[in-house]
Amino acid sequence: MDALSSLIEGLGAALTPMNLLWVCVGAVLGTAVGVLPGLGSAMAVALLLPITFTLDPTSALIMFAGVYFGGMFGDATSAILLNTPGTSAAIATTFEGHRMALDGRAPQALAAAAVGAFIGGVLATLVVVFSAEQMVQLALKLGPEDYFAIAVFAFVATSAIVAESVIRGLTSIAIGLTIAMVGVESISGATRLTAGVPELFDGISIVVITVGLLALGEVFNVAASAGKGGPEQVLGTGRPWLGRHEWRQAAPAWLRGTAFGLPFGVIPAGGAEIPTFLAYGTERALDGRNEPRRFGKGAIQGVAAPEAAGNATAGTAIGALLALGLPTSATAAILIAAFQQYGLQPGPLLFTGESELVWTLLASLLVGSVVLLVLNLGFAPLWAKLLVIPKAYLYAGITVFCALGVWSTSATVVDLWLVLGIGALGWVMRRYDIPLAPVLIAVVLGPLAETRFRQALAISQGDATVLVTSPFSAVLYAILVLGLVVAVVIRQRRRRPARSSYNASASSSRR
Amino acid sequence: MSTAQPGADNEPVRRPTWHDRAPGLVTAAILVVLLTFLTIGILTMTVPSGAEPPGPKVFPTIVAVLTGVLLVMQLVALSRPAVRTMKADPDPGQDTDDAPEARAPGTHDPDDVNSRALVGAMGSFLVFSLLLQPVGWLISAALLFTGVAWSIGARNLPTVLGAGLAISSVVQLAFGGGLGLALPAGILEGVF
Repeated sequence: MDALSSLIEGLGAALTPMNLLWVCVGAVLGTAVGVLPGLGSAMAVALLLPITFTLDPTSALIMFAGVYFGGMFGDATSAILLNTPGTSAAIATTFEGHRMALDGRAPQALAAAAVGAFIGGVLATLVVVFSAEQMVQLALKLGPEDYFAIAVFAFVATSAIVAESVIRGLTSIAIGLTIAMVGVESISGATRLTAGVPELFDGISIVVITVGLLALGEVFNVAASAGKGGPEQVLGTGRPWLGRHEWRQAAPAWLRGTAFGLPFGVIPAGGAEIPTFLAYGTERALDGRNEPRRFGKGAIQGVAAPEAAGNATAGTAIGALLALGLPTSATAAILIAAFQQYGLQPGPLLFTGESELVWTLLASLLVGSVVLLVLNLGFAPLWAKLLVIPKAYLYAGITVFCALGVWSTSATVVDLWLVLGIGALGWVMRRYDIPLAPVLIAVVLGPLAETRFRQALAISQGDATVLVTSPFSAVLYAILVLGLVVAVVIRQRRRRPARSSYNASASSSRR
Repeated sequence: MSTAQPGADNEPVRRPTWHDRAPGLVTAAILVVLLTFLTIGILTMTVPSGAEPPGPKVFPTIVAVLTGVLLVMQLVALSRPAVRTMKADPDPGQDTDDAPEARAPGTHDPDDVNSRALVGAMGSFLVFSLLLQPVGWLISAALLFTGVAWSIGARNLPTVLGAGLAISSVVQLAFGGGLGLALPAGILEGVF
């Protein structure tokens, strides 16, 4: 029970008053950002990153853990009360959740979501705790060609399989890879793609890229649609209270949702969207046996399962991040940048070199889940009040924080121009359906992919077959090809039932 | 919409509109820019002597080839004479982790951009970047806030300006004073 004793030690470190405070600050910030439409925890971490550089790494990472989970919790609130999911992971929750709210059962929906997120998050963290050792052992056995295969897998999975359009998804990857190559290259010292601008020799900071794409891009998006749309109505208040009947309905859904979410955290496929929809679809199919059917009229399972799945994914994603150094979602990609800011490189060596920090971080995920459960179970209607802030003030404030965040990373005007340009790009990408998450994954994994690629080729003295002949990489590429085939088949099939009642009701409920 | 005519496999087919083509055209434009940037970058790169065999040009070349292939695929897709009607309602951001799904109603219409507000917001940021060092954080950040809020639709100038000043002052005190972040003082040098 090595992991257990390490975890208890971590809990001891996480429960100091100062660290507890940072978890709470993170949880509050994360929830607040999650509630606001269009803003996710990736953006919150990116904005906080430069501002927290004066903190010690443990405190900062503990706070980010709170932000990370908090974003998922808060997202459900606006999805249920306002029918506006803040991120794609909350879309599945919206269908039944908002119907429950319309039905006067908003408190129950919020409670089912909060408890579901709690269960998913805690179980996933425990899975990470007890499998971390094995993951690290696996990671230590991998050679450079295997890491290159993982990176390629992440690129193709996030863009081609998950995204709606393969071309646009891969375009996103190409944008990210190109941005990541700007600057002095680490192996040979060659200066690449800087157009002779000395400020670019250090490369473009991930903070600039994230703040530009996610935060400033969203501000421009709001500006571009300013003056349209009526005031939104916040539904329902009251104490969240689940009756015994509701517990009985929701409990199995929470567990099933968690089961869907757990494996997806480790797969670099762009986050929690797929497992939440799988969980939603399963509950819907199971409901088909009931008479009368509950789905479509506000079924509590339709909220419970996706929320559990979403947070379970977020939890195991932390495991993949810490043990393998592999970001499986945009938020995880920013968290890697956070580690790097403190000179820490996530990966197997982190567990041996910085084991105290790792276990404190894992323990604070558990602590954070408890804090978030209290925050969201008790105060969900209060959070919804955030949406009363006029849009103009809200997004103007966000713009000021974008400027602050970017200025504090580098204090150069060039970076302000860069973030403006990347923000404009972010707006264009939003407007024309080009996914954003692959850019961030490519920015983070691109340099890793290149380094490993060159290492592998240097070892094999230019023999490119080395890239596909190791068992691990061969299996990974095989899965990738299989996934592509399945994706194509599903897309072909979807053409037929696309206009059936399922999608029609789904898209109408989103408006 | 336009006249529906039966397609080869019995799908309803119609003539593509600007609405259908815009994402593809924009993607193609982005790819052209990327390809140009990468090609010029690779051609003008000076490789330091003694660089190990897979040198610094190899990876950019791979990305450039990928970009080229994507561009060709996108152009082929754009040249198709008709589109199926299944994707009449695009769902932006649905396939990303943290991209916004929620947006104000009406944003789906591509011809309906509030360009004055958009230019206002972008312009405010540009002005901020130029003013920050000479004028200082306090004033330029307050102006940035005011500019963006005004562009998005806040019309009560005294209130907006007051809120902007309040935020820039709080940031100055909390981050400049408290955390020791170096924010330019500008013309207020010496006051702080």
